[in-house]
Amino acid sequence: MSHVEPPSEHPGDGRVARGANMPHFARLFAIWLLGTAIVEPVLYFLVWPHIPPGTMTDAARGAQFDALVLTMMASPVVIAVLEYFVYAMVVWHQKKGEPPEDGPPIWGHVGIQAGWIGITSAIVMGAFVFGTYELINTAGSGGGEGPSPIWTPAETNDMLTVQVIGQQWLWTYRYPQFGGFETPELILPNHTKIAFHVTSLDVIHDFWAYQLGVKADANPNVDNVAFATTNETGRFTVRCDELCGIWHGAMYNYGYIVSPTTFYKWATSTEKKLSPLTKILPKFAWTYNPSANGAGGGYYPASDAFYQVYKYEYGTSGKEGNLPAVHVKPSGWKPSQAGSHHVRER
Amino acid sequence: MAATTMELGAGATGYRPTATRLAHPWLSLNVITAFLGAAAGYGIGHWIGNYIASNYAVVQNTGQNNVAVVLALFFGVLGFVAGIGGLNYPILKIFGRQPEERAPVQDWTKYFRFSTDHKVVGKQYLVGVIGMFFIGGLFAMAIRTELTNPNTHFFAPDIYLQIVSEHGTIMMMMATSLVVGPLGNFLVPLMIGSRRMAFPRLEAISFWIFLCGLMVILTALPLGGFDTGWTGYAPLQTEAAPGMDAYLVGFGTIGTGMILNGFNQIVTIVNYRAPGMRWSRLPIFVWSMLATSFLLTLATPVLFVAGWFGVLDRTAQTAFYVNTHGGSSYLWENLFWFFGHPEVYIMAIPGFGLVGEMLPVFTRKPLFAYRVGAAGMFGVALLSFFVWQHHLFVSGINPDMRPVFMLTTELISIPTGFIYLIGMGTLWRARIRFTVPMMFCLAMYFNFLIGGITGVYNSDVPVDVTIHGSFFVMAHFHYTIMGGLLFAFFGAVYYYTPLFTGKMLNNTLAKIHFWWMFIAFNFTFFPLFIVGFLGMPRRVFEYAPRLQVLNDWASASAYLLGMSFLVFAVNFVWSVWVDPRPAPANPWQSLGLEWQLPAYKMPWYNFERLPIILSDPYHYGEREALPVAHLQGVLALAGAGAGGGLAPVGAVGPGPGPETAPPGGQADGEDQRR
Amino acid sequence: MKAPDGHWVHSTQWVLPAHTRVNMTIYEYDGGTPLRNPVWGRVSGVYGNSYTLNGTKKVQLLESTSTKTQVAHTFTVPAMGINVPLYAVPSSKLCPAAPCTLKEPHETIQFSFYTGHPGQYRWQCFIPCGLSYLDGNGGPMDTLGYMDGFLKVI
Ligand SMILES: [Cu+2]
Ligand SMILES: [Cu+2]
Repeated sequence: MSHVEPPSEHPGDGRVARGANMPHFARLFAIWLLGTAIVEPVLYFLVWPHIPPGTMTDAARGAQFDALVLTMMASPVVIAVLEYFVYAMVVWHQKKGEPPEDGPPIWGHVGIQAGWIGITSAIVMGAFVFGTYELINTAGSGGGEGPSPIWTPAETNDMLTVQVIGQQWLWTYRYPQFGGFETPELILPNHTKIAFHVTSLDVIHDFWAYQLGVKADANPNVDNVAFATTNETGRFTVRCDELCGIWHGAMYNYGYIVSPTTFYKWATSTEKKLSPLTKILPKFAWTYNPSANGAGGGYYPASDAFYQVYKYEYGTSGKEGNLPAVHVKPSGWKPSQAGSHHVRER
Repeated sequence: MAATTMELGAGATGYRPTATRLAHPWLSLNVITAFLGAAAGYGIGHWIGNYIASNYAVVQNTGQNNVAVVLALFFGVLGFVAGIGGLNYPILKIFGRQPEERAPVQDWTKYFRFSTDHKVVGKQYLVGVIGMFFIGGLFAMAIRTELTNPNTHFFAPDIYLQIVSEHGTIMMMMATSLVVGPLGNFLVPLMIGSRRMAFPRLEAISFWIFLCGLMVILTALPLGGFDTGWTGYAPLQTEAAPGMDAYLVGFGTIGTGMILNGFNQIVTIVNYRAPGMRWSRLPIFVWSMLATSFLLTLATPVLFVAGWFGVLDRTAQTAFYVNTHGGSSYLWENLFWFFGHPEVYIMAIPGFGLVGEMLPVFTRKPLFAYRVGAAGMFGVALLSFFVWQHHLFVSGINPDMRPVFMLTTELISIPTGFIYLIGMGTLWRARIRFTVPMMFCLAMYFNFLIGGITGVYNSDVPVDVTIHGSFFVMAHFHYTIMGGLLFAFFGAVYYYTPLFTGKMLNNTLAKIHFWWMFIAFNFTFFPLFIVGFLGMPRRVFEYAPRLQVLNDWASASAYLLGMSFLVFAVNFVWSVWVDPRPAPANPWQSLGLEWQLPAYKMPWYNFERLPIILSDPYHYGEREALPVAHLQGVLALAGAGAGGGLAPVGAVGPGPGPETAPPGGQADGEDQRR
Repeated sequence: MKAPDGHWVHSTQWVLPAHTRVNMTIYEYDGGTPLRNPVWGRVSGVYGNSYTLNGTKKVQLLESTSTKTQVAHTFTVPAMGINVPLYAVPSSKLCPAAPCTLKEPHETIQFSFYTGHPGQYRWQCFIPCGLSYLDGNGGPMDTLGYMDGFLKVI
């Protein structure tokens, strides 16, 4: 019953066992210290290498390390809270046979409250500072930075540019340094800085090269740039990560990172093989507006004022000009430009 | 209603208006006339749409015209609201007539009518949200069925997307009102000592509009569904089937209800507190309702406008969201998430409030750091308006703002952490009573811990590049909304059913429900974090075969999770209607004002005289404390039954002696039967 | 709108034997639309990377722009690398109402492909043929049984 009951006949049997504050503090702290001392090394030595998305690029490696740091910051918090709740449930419950009493009327504690706010603020600021450092350090950490990226790799002369085109429901890729051929295959050279220019022909897609740690939304008429430096050869998965209609779930394929010479061989031979097709493609541009060629489904009438202006300004093949901050080196890309970019181990 | 305030001023004589009984209940407006009105409105709207716009926006192959669909749904909602009687008052006013003020109908048909009794509206909402939750849950079962196999399909991919979209939209709509609707409307006036909500007609209309929203969103299915998920991203939205119109009108409809409900709560809490109910004595649940209501009132209009732009794009062929015609696909994303992130906290803060309200009762201790808790809710509410672009970290928009949104998002975990501070402080050296509501509260803390910590991963841009849009995010928000809000809600349902109905729910079944739900919930959603981290995007019907084991485990657990709610349903139906066991008054020995009076016996105006609040409701363990309120003469209960049922009130303040109890059996004859 | 398989098989989900060469004939009755992405004008993934049009002409590349519209639909199975753009009937000669019969003007497209490993492979059309939908990509393009289907290879 509540507080209005007459004072308990047995003042001793509940209260003393519950004791004062300090023994509880000491016990809780000891358990927490032990738990943290076990969990943190396990995370660092055993879990770290297995954290997705792996180490295929510097962006992936950065995300992996960041996830480790967050986990190592979060673990002591999780341990403390869980431990506290279990402890409270075990030690501070109404025991059978005890007279039903109320607990001590503790309304608050300035020190505890201030300490709590201080500690949580420090953790949060730590996570923010580290996350921002990682974001800048890996040139946007593989995320799409829009048409004018502000975090770019230091050297951009030797960069390979790949345009990623999302359309319902498949990805195609254009290689502007190789005559602008377009193919559904994504092949990349190792030890090379890559700039992905992601755009869409219709709705919003999201280019997710999982093992590369690259993700960028594909918006129509938008050039969304993401960077990554390749680090290992092998296969990676590309999935669409933004709901885009019926075949969204099937909109995936595989890409490969190969040696720079293999890549060069593939790229030059494909350029030659696809040259008749490349001729009928629109001239390479950073975005690509198919409505201008009449393939708009007739939703907006052909007399649509904006469409007319658009056609006048940009022609029918898409937007010319509007070059992003990271330019394509006009002379193409050679294997000799690769090989110097070994992603440093941490 | 005006009379109420006047009587309030008079004070001394008490307040007991006569309940009016209608000549014949079925001749006046009720839910059947509402459906007739909806059908008529739908037909009229469809005809107008075809008349004014038959020559354009006709979608081939479906014979549907988006203008006709939108107008039909809009007029259908209008017809429903008119049919239930929600427009009587304004229409009479428009024609210059003074509407006759009537007490709400008192017999059982009041649950199927436009009732201005906040307790009736609360119960209507309760049945509404639970029904909606079950409908949305069936879609969830279908989703998990499809995902049992990575490339053999139970549903066609387009059907699957319709299922996913319906599930998401229904659940989101349901969760916005899950607590504010039933518990907010029922409890807030009782907790602050008010006779009613500030705007009883708005309150009633908000419920019926809420119901319309559910029906509108379900009409998407016969219209070909919509395939955009609950986020409705344009321009996929713009090219979708006519079912998309139901999504846009449905969100607009339910948004109207949310704005009205939130506005009503704010005005009620600010202006209708009983004498002595200072801000420092306000129950923590009322604080949570206030914070939530500000979010409802300020964030929802943005969604409304966004939806309106979408409707224009789809009917009048404007191009708000079409990049190639001068609009921007980012516009929808920004507007939607500017609403959508406060929305997330619309669905979290009420859970915090409920848990904060129940913990002191079952730990027998005052709420620890009460002010910090209340401040935390407002801190969360305020910050939630400044975080929305964390949903757009890879969208290509504003890369320079990423650290800012990372910071604000991580900052929000500080006030959210206050909920743990008050919880853990309250548990310190407590006398925990492991009742079912308490178990739900503790489970909420466990689930929300996982949900909250994983939220930090989402807020961190480098990690978010991997987990954005994946099953990790999906698991994260199911942990916060289902693991947080829904667990708190079910705890509150077990806690407050005795107050709502006067019946106890069966304790054994309740415990079975709790453990079943808790274990199945964690079994379902925890593996999905891993699935997402391993590269599975949301809303896909095909996935990598290496993820099948985890997905099958999640599907099997999801079926069990679904079944656990049947235990609840059986318990509720059995204990309330089939084999009711009367609950003792104040079965949990709460000090809260709402528990000092049996709400299920109260007339529609609650109090004969307003209570005088003397203290906050958390003085557990203080023998010398004042009772929460001076209750002498506040009861307007009729009949002799009241006296016995009210005995425990004596523990708090002098109960109404026979001489102060109102004479029964005359004015409130209708209530006497209950 | 009709599926490229014409009206004689009213299904867009077929069961095919694995590791088999399949000879396919498509009757195409529809008029041309510009391609959203001209890359789909190239025939690929079938024997000889070409098909036979009306029994005689060998086709490898079709152009479909605002000035020259030759493509009506495509039969594309992305996972198999198959892409077959279907030559359009000139818009002046379209049959008046579906279902059309073989007596009416149409194009006959013949090619063969190899099914490979068992599995469910989606096929779709890459021409925005959903008239009056934004980008031409809603409606039939977004509905199983019209411009979408499965090849179940067993
Ligand atoms: Cu996509
Ligand atoms: Cu958010």
